[in-house]
Amino acid sequence: MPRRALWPIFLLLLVAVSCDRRSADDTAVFRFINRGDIITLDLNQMSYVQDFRITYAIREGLYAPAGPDFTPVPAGATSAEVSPDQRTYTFRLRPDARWSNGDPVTADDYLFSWKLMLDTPGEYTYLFYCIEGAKAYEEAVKADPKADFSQVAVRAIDRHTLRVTLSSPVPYFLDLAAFPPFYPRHEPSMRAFKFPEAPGYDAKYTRPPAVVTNGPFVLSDWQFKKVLRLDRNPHYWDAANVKLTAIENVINDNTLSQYLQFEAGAVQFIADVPAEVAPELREQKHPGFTTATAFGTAFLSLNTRPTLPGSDAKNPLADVRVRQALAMTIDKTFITEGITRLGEQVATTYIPPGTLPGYHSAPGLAYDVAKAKALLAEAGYPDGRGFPKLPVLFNSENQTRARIAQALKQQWKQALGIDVEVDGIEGKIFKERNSTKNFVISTVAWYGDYPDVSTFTDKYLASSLNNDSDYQSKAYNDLLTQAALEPDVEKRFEQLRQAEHLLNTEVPIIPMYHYVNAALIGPKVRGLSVNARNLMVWKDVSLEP
Amino acid sequence: MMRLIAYRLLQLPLILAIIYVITFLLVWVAPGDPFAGERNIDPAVVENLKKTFHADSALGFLTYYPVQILLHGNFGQSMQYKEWTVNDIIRSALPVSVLLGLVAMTIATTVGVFIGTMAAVRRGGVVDWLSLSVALIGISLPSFVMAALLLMLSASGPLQGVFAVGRFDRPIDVLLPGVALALAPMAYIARLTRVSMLDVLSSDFVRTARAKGLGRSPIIWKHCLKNAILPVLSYLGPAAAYTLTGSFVVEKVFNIPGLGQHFVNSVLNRDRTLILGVVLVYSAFVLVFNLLVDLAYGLVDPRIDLGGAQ
Repeated sequence: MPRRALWPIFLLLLVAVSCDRRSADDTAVFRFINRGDIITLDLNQMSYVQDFRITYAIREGLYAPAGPDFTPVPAGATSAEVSPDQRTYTFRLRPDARWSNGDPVTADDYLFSWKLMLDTPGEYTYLFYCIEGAKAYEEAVKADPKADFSQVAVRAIDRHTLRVTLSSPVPYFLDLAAFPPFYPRHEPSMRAFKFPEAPGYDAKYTRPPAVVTNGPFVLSDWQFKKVLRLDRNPHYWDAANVKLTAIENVINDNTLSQYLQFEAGAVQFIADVPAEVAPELREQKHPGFTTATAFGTAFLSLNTRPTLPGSDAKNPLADVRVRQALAMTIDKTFITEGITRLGEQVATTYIPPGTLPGYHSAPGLAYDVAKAKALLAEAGYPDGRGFPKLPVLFNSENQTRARIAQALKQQWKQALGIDVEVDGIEGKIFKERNSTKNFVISTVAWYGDYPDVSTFTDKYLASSLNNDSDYQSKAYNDLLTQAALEPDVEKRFEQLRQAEHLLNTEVPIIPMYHYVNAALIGPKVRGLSVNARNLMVWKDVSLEP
Repeated sequence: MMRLIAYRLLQLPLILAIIYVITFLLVWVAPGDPFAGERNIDPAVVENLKKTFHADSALGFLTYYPVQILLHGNFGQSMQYKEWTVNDIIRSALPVSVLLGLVAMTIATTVGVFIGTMAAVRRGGVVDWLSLSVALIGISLPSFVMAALLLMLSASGPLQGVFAVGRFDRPIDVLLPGVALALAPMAYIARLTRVSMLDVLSSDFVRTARAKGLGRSPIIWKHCLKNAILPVLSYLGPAAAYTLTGSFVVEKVFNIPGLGQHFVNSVLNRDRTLILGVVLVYSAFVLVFNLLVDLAYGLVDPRIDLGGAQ
């Protein structure tokens, strides 16, 4: 084939590719690397931290998290009146709040968005169940798409007043009001994306140029798997206090190239330093490397069902003594110092200590081989005799978990004389095996979504969809039910503490260590800190020239 | 020759249809749910989601998507990236991958053929020995090692600032990944050229040409190369497939938003619509490229009759 014939094609491609680029010379842009790529910016379906980070920049709710503890402060609302029974919240909306196209933000925009959360439910719709009538409406709308939304106790009293009535007091309701699923949406700009037959909207409403938002920044460009560009929103009510003119979320999955980009100053912030390099940067005392205790815990899920999955054989882990024996013979320090190496705190409790003001967990099970051996013997397996060879499941894409599984195998063999099998499987199958409870021991983790104990403890309610261990404890359920109705903060915390202690001592899960968030922050960045929630308050961030 | 083209073009949709069905079956029976998120949600909600994606039954899938592809060229919505259609994704990624592939192929063939020819001409000499070493390195050094080395090189030393690191902004940024990707096929091409060139150099017509007083260069580059290039041409088909599908690693290291990453990630995500879209596009490319290579035979060597016996 004459090479001449290839040139026109080659040139065309060059043109196609270069048209796509955007000038990279403006220095006032804050560039950062988020965790992985953006999955969706649709409030209904969003669940990943990287998506939330962008949402906090481009949208705003009644309240907004403010640094450094992410306590909710008035944002889209100027105030909230709470009734004496703590069930009714009356929000006064900020009259000068505007959408990015200049339209005023009204109470109806909140109503519209909240209704949509119930009409086409997603992973966080359950948070709306605390609103009176919400759960009933969600059930009703499934059967009849025209079900009456007025049965949900949310009212637009006037254009700028929103009243919400809860079925019982929710001490963290303002935190929820600051959480993206509770943010308003701009119906007129979404109309073109409404599904003709099915309820709900095509998620493409979130893409520029159609997307209209109400946060400090607007999404002005989104190139798939390349970059998201956020520009300062001139219509934002507090635009005067927004310091950055633009943010670019650069998509880069590769650890080496991430690091080189940071070192070259091409990005000023890596929000999550990959586990392959983080320990090394920590040891080198890299000046930009910062860590904070995360709002998340790594633990082992133990299947507590009476029989092993897929067979009629007895599941030894159904016996609380066996679970305790396993929990008491894990040398967690070996794992944090030899494997994870980020200064993680070893865990005996489910909830990371110090992350919830006023709440203190009671200590869980300590390392105690002698007692563990006695418990195992009591359960009918003296020195591990007769104990079946159980698999320890882990996600094979996660090297840390693979090494932890290996360590567990060795530690349990040494301490209890029992044999386990390490079983690494691919991510999607791992996820499915956990949610269908088709596992015996599994290395997993949980991160809290909103700053309250229940974001952790609700997972192990008998009725919870995320109760992977199938933990069925009446005492635990009762304590959580009481706590959900308890208006007194101190009493409520005490009930939750007792409930958490049941988890920590009956061990349907074995807490391993509390996660550490690790970031790289450039020398010119101000107003950015690494925190437990692993989120940013974008308004506060600035770049020194 | 026209008959061959027509025949092959008619074959194309049939082969693609077979590839589609086989891929679909594999994708459908693979465990793991494309709609599973981080948290477990109400099964009824997942069912609803599947309905909107026509993914609630194999029959529903097969009666919806192939029709869409045939009628509208529409591969549907990505199941993982809810904001993007498969067409969006392929449209943004394909030009990048093709450019990268072309750059790599251009480097591989020009440099490979040059090295191979020189090695054959100076058989046993330093150039031959060097070409052998280059070929050995090229074949045995995995592209991700080469890619990582080049990436580090571009971030420091004299090359710093010439190429963007971890970004793909300007066409020049495709050069280093192109080199990383070209190395293996280049080495192979060099070896192929050398062997067949040695054959050709000892043939009668070369001696005749020399006897007639023709210069060394025209003999080698015009007369010999034309004959020696045939095995290289037949390797170009598989090499093109390699540079397109094998670009995943290089794309990942250089953070290039090409199609190679979707080839792998869509499978990990069980993004059924995207898997099928990417596989179809790749297959079409490889098939068309093989056809082009076959046509090139005829152009290079008129003795090869592409029309077949009439």
